[in-house]
Amino acid sequence: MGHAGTLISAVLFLFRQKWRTSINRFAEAMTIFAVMCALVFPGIHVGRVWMAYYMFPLPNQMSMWPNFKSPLIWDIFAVSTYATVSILFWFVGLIPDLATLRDRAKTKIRKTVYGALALGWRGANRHWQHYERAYMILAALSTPLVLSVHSVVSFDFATSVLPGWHTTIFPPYFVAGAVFSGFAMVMTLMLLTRAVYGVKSIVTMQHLELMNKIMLVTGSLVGYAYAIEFFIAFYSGNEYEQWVFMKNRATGPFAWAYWTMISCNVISPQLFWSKKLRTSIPVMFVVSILINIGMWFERFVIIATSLFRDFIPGSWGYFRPTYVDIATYAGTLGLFFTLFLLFLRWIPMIAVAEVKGVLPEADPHYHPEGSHDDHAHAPAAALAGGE
Amino acid sequence: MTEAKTASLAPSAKNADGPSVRLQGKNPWLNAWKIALGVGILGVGISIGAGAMGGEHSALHERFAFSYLFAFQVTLSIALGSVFFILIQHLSSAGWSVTVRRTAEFLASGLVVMAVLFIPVWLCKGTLYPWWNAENAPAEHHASNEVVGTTTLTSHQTHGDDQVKEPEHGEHAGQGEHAGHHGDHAEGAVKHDHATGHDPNDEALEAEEHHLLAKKRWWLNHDFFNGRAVLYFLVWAFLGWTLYKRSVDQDKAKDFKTTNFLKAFSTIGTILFALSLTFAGVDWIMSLQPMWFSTIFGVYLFAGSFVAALATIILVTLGLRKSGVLLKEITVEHYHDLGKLMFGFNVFWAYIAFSQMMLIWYAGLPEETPFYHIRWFTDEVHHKASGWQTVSLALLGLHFAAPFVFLISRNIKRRLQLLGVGAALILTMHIVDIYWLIFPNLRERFEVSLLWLDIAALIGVASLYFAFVLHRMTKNALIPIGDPRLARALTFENA
Repeated sequence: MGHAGTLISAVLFLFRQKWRTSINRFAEAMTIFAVMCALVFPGIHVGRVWMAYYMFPLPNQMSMWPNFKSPLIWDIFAVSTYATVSILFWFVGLIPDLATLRDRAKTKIRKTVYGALALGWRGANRHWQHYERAYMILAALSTPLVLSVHSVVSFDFATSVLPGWHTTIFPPYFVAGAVFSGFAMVMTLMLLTRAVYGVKSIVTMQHLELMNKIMLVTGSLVGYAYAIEFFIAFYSGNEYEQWVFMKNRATGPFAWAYWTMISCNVISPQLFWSKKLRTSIPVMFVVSILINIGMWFERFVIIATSLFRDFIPGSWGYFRPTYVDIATYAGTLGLFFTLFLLFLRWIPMIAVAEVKGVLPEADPHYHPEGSHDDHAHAPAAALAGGE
Repeated sequence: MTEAKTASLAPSAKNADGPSVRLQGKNPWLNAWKIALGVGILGVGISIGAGAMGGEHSALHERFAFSYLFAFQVTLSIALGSVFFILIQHLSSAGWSVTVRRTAEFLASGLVVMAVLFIPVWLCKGTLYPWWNAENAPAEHHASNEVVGTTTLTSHQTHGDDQVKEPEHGEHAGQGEHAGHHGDHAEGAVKHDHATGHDPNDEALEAEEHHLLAKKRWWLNHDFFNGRAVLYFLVWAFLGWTLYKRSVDQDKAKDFKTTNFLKAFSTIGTILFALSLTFAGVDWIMSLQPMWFSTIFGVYLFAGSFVAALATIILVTLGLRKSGVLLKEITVEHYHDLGKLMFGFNVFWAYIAFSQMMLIWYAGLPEETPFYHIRWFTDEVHHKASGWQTVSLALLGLHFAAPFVFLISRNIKRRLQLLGVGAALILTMHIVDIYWLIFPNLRERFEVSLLWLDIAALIGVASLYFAFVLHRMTKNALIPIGDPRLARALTFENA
């Protein structure tokens, strides 16, 4: 889920897709909260939460070090780097807006807090120059992170020799899947927020449609990966691969999970081929929820269906979540939404300064109403993502 | 340039047609296609001649088959990469790239000749693909008579007879003729044991490979292979020609309908493109080593092709620019953007290459590692570094690291000559990449002294393709003068 943030912030920024301005703050916030939830888990996985510092290579009297050959430790570095850069990126983008909040604050506490966070921003020309440069550099730094984080997450699986886990397409496939599910989550939250807070004139149908198109593309990329995995399982002639894909996934005890995944991730976004459907709020809301479900099932299918039938037939079984599994999952959802609602409460959910910059009125040659020369329409064209 | 009288720096879209966008008068590019045609016929002629001279089971014939496949794949990758460039511009309704797009369209139009250029590959399929003639052969037969070393199916059988003549080398014939691949006597002695065919491990492996191949027959069989090849060429000719033809027709029609059509076409086009490129890669490159497989391979080929196409587009437009055309239509802003794309996708190529290598190396599965073994070691027993190790490292250093450091600077991407150097380096390394994908499959039978044949084939095939492309250039405007988004491209500036 945490992936749409960097994609929208960094990649779309570098591709001059100005329509991103109305959703980037939102997506970045979602990214940071999702990463926070994710970072809870290594702590749990260590087994003794109070020993969580063992994950880091800290010199200690026992000379105990993490296993640097393990993808799990790479994961710690990848995700924490990603979290750091995402927070920096988010915060730098926030500075002009925090200054606006400071200027409009009515209570002393708000003035002090927003004032401290705005870092003395006065909107001077020099400030903007530095700001633009810093933003550009952070965007360039974030772009490789879009690839690295989920590639490393995929290494957790793919470096093993487990059929269904070890396959070379995993890194780009995980990246595409992460962007896909990230966009779906942004869409779900955005539609709700848009309805509640009435920002329909800022987050327009055009934005939603473009997001739906991205979901169509990334959903199809994920579909390509599913297909190639299946194809290679049969092309390779490897009976273990074939067993996992045919007997454990497509048919077998978890077929229901597998086909839920396929239907939600590959088939449901195909509805967006139709302009009518991809501009329909109810349709896109349902599809975005389906994709969230489908991407949850993707991880479930990858993990459960490669493990529930072990190499030893004696240890075959059927995965049933315990109350601990369910409570842990519910807990992360709770953490995520708590943080997210606090964000909506305290921080501008739309990048005010950036949206101002792409409004038609921001153009020096803007002539209100009735004028039809080319210049007046240029920003509108830019908003349309044409450029 | 006729618009020089107007104050505007960029030519206006309304009068875009003119001598600055057409090859006219004494422009040297007008006759380039004739030269390319001549060179192409000569190059392909020489290589086919060399291949025919040796006779069907000769080393020369075998080398010709690989050389030609290599030349074909390099050319194909540039044409397919250009198709993707066009598709993505239509899909994103890109304005900046309109003037550049025509060059890609010329390159894509060349896909219609690729089917003809494929014929020699098809004729040599039995030499190239170990599985082709191994069809239905009983495993025992191979294990006792023709098998040498640890990789029979992945090695080649045409040399099985020679093996008997030179048992003291314990390796395939032809290998003794050149230095550099030989171990010392002790190593030769060890190999001798392998060569006698009595090693039970070898026989077991052999039987296993035949067992596996039998399971791969549903894909690797004659009829399906041929049918798929026909399908790929139909799809590619359809894609390349539609994208080219509809665009040049728009030069006259100047309608928006074509633009809308091409956008809709590009959706289906992208799907067809992705599937055909992936499966053609499996058929023609992956199956050179039939036991090997990798799910990321299609993505790897795609990344390489797209980078190579971007480099080619940069080099071709720079070449046209030298002759005095496209001076104001394709400006430093466009080159800068092309440079950024090339830089970005070159990093993407490296990322895909790394992912594949990393996962195969880490897991160390016997089905997968031979791909890297034959690109690193002389043989699978002694793990002595071979010349391919240098090539593998060169890909890391010169395909990824050097262009990365060189092209990361905005300054360099905006200096056309330096950008040209970067593009030339990347294109060269892409050629090396394809070479590296194909030739290690010859194993010990690879002879450095036959490099001239590879070069002749590459120059020949690429020239024939470019003869067609360059001829298209003489017939049409060099930018899409009827595209409704042309004005945006002409006045485009990097933010």
